[in-house]
Amino acid sequence: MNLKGTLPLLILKVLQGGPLHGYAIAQRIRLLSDGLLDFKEGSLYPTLHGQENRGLIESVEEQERGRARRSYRLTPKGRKALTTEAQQWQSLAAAVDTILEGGPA
Amino acid sequence: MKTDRGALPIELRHWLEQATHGLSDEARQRVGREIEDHFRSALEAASAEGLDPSLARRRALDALGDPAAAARDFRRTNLTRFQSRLLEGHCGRPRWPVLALHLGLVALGVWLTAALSGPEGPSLVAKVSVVSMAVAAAVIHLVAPWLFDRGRKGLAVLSSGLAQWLLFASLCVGVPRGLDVPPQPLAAWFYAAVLLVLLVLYLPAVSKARHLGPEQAGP
Repeated sequence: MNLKGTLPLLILKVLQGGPLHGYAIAQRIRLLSDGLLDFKEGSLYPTLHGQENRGLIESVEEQERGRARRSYRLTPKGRKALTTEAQQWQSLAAAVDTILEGGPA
Repeated sequence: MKTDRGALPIELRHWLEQATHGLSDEARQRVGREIEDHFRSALEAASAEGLDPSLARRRALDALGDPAAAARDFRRTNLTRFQSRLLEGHCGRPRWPVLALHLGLVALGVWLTAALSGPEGPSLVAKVSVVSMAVAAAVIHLVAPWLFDRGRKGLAVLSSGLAQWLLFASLCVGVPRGLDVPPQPLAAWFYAAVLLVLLVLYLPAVSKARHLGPEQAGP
C-alpha cells in the first residue's frame, strides 16, 4: 500500500519512541504496519531532510562499527507537530470511515 | 568523514551518482554516507536471513527505488551546487572587490547628492537613498558575515539578499534623483521584479541552510 503523503507523519510517530537511523525508521514503519505500508527507501531520506529543514527533527552523525551513521530524533517542535497532524489524520480517517460505512445515499 | 566509494558495489555507485546529481558537494557526501549505511544495513539483514549475496544486493538496490525520483526529492530538500555557491558568498571571508565596489557606490551617491543638488539642497529621496546604500553595504559586509559565523546562516543569507536589493534600488532611485532625471513609471515594477528574483533565488537556500552545521555550509 502506497503511503501517499503520510510518510512524514509516520516518521514523526516512530521517532517518538527515541532516536533512530534511517534504515531502522524504514523497518519500524514496515513492522508496525505488518508490512502493509510500503515505500521506496530512497524517498525516506529526502523526507527526513525536509523535516530537518522545518525543525521537526534533528540529526547527529556518529561513527559506529567503523562507518558513519546518522540518527534522527524529534525536536519539541516535532512533538507538537506530531500531536496536531495525528489529530488531523484521525479526523480525516473518521470522516472517510463514516462515508464508507454509510454506503451510497 | 568521507565515504569510501571504492568499496561500494558499482550498482550503488551508479544509483548514488544519479540520485545526487546537481547537489552541492557537502550534500552529496551526506547523502552518500546515509545511503551507504542504509544499503549495508539492508545487506546485513539479508545476510542474516541467509540470502545469497548477489540477490541481497539486488533486493537492497530495488528497495531504494528510482534514482531519478530520489534526485528530484533530494534537490527539493538539500542544497544544490548553485545554492551552495550562493551561501559561500556569505561565509564571512573578506570579498575586497565587492567591498570596494559597494564603498565606491556609496561615495558616488554622496558626491552626486552633494554636488548636483539644487539651491534648496538634496532632495529627501536622494538623502534616504544614500543612507540606505550605506546601511545595505554595512549589512552585506558586517552584519551578514557576523550572523553567518554565529551559525545564523539562514538569517545571514536572507539579510544579505535583501540588503543587495536595497543597495540596487537605492542606486536606481538615488542616482536619477541626484541627476534630476524624472522618475520612470515602470521603475517600481522593475525593482519589484528584481526583489522577486532575489527572493526566488535566496529563500530556498535560506530554508535548506537553517539546520546546517559549520562543516556543511562553509567552503
